[in-house]
Amino acid sequence: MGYLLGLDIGTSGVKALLVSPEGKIISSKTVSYPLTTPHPGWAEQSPYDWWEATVKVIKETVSDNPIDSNQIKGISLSGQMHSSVFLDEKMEVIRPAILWSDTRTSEQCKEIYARAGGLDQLIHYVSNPALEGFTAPKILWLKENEPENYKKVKHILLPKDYIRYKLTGELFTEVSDAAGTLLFEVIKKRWSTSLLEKLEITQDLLSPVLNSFDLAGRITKNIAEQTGLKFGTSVVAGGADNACGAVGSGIIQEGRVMVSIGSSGVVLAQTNNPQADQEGRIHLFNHACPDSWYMMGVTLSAGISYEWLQKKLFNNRLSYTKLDQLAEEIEPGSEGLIFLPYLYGERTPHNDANARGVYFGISGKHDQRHFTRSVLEGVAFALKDSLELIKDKGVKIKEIRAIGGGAKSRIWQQILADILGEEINLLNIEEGPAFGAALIAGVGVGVYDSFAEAVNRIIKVKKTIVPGIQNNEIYNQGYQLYKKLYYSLKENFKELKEMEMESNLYS
Amino acid sequence: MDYLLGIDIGTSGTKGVLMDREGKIYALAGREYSIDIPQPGWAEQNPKMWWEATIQVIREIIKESKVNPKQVRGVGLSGQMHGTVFLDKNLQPFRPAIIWADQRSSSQCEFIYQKIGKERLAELTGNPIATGFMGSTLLWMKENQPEEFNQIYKVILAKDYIRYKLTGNLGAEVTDASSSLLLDIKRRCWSEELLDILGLPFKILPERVHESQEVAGYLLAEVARSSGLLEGIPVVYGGGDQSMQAVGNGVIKPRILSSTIGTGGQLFITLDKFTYDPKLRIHTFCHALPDTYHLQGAILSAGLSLKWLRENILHTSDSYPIFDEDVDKIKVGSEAIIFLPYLLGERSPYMNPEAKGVFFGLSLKHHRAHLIRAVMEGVVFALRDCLEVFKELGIKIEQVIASGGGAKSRVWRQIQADIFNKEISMTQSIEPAAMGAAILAGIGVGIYKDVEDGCRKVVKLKEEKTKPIPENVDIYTKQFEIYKSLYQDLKEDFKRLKEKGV
Repeated sequence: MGYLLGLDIGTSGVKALLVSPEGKIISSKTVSYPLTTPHPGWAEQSPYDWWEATVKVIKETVSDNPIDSNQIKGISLSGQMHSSVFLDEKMEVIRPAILWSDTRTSEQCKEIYARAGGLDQLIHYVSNPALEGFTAPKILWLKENEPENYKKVKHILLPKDYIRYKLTGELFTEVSDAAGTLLFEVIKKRWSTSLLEKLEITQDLLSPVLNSFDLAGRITKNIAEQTGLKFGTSVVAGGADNACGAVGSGIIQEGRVMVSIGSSGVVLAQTNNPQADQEGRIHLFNHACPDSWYMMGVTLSAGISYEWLQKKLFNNRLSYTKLDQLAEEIEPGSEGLIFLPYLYGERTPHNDANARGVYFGISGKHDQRHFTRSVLEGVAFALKDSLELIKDKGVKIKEIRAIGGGAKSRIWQQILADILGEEINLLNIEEGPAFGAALIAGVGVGVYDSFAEAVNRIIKVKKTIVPGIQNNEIYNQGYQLYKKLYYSLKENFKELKEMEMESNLYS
Repeated sequence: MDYLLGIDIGTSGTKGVLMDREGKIYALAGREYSIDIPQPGWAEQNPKMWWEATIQVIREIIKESKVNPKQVRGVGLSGQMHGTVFLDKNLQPFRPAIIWADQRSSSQCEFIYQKIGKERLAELTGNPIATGFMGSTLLWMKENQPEEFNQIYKVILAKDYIRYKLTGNLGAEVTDASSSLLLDIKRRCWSEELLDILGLPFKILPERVHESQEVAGYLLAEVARSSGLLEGIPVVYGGGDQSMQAVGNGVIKPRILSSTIGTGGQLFITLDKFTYDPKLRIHTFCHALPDTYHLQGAILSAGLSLKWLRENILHTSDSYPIFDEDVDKIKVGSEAIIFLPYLLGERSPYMNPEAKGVFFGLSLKHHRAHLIRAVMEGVVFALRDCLEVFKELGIKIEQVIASGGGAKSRVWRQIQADIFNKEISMTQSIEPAAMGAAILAGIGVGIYKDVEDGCRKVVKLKEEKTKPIPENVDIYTKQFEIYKSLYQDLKEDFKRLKEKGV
């Protein structure tokens, strides 16, 4: 039997999934690690913490189940995107990794636009806008702010590539994660020598780029001893967490779309015809399957908005089940109350860190129920923003699959279907990026002939949510106003931010 | 000893106070009642209910105070403004009164604007039109219930009905009359021009419009029997509750601003000459002192906003003093949340029933206490928005007197001091509207020379003052700019919201 091990180097911990070829979960374990915030807006982790946790989670996985490690045919990895690991010539970590959620690099983003020759030109090179979280601005930040450290840098790696290097001793990256560095020509699948030159970053610092399903190395003897894995086990390149998550939900053919309501919300559509958005409102990244890309929109506060409501506003006094019930008592449209879920700024489509949350249209008749339902609706509107952009790029939507914690709420499922005006499919299996990594491992080592075979064998639609036509009409009206509100308020968001800075109102 | 009785016929109840000439209170009584809402947006009350409450209140006061009724020298009245009591030929109310909160006459309001024109209307009445004002209500009735309209012998305001019951004399006085939309405010008499244009017969109004402090009549024998007062006690005309409250708080001279946070919120300032806002963002009414006027900005959801947050959203049993403790821990400016308190639309200064409430600037760090603080701040920003119109009309402010339930909150007073950038004082007056009415009674019977004399003797300031804190003033000054632009930038969206019915 060819068992597969999928690892996900996430932001809160590393998860290991041991999966049978039929997709059965044999073992699922997580070991967590801390995140530090040395300054407001900063976010760092130690790559050593990732590594220790990885060793621990593999050891536990191997020892706590009846499967002999001989039977593990392949290992692959998923990981948080964009975060930067800086290594010196001895392959030692120079400083903590700067994470995808770190926002210290606003100045460097401006610099990148300037050096690239504007947004158009940057998109021409790398198909994406310069966002604070991406890798390239972090490299410039290090160069400008910690020149001593920068001098020592010999390799810049992404989190899962660092862990793979530790497992195999081989230095590689692969397309789906390279795509998030802002240094990769996404459509041509190669490092952008032009942009590297303009940013004065030597290509030597970056690793060779594989396909996600390519064999990247084997478990070394030393690691085999440390972890209990078999010496020489194949390690497949793997992918960025979004790409792996998409594989794990079967989003591997044109027209399939994944809508994920986790802490943040993601709309991800596979495509074989990559087209970058000239305004940079939506991402274009390489997918894990051959000659395949995905477009992705992100709304930053999806589940987080609901959590904020539950914890901060309602003081933990109402369970999510209760909140769902309250929302259900109210008609679609929340009687004119509209929520903009920009509690943490917004990514798609506004790329606006100044944006903030808004309850609009409050009247005396509104109560907890309206405040709850409008949050669910507002998040779904934000997801619709991304879907509309994807449609604009010519992707014909054939099927939408919803995953994530939010998609487990019956009322949220229905609101999503009604607002998107599309059927929403729910899946039999929802194990996230680590599961996708295991499938990629299976493709890489030949347990499956292809991604399609793996996905068709394992991932099934469990339930379909059908949109209500009337509700969809109501929501189309609401959506028009939702969209307009951001533009009405855009300047005020900016002024509010400036005021906040001046008055130093930070907590 | 001389005692003076003041009665305030309010919307949620009738209250009375008995005080001596120094303003010392000997008894205080109240009776609550409710508003009838026969259809959504309508608001009615039965005048007989007011009358019964009044008699009960007086009886209780006489009993509780244990004063000799002979020593009660005069009675004064305060009352809810704008509304209409309909009397038939026998001077009986033949239907419930339509009160200020009634919204049935919105198309009549439009009609009045079109017919007279905003500019002429402003000049004549000093007032924007609102539903529930006597003028618009009468037009509504003429169009929609012509039979009832024909039954009208006289129309009067709430406290005028009570005065008629007390004395048997029917009359009107300037402060309340100026809130009817039918008064030529500059000349302080009914406007024949207006009545003509609106097609309303002059004869349905009490003939003359008197000054508030004049004696209107004397207590009837039968009322003396049922109330415990003595027959023949002088009763003065009294005034609308806004001006009576102002008198009871000593707000009788220019440059003293009264800021009230009750269910709604009001800014009030005395004018020694007639001034009005040609843009009709705020009201000008007659004040209770002869030949004076007052400006008034009225916001609809003041304390109501906080009550709404507490009851509808937070579902908390925490009392307002606990809110104060929580809010005190939140930084000035609520860490950049701004609340627009337009839960019921807004009167001053926007006169826009389509406006709605907004929480703007929410982020993950905010929790319930931030929202509570933001609501308190938003309400005061809304008042400041009215104050800007006062300033535009050349009004200077030297002193601010805070009153209403909102003034009981120390934090809310500090927010007022900081947003108005003025020191805030409070008076010791309990039930200022009823006390104001009692002061007028004192003038009518000659105990006080004039209002100034009466207020000097009766109204005392509390020692505690709330001073503005310069750093806070700076923060609020900046935030107020955003507050104002939010309304402008969202105006179209409020309209869309209404049109789409989403």
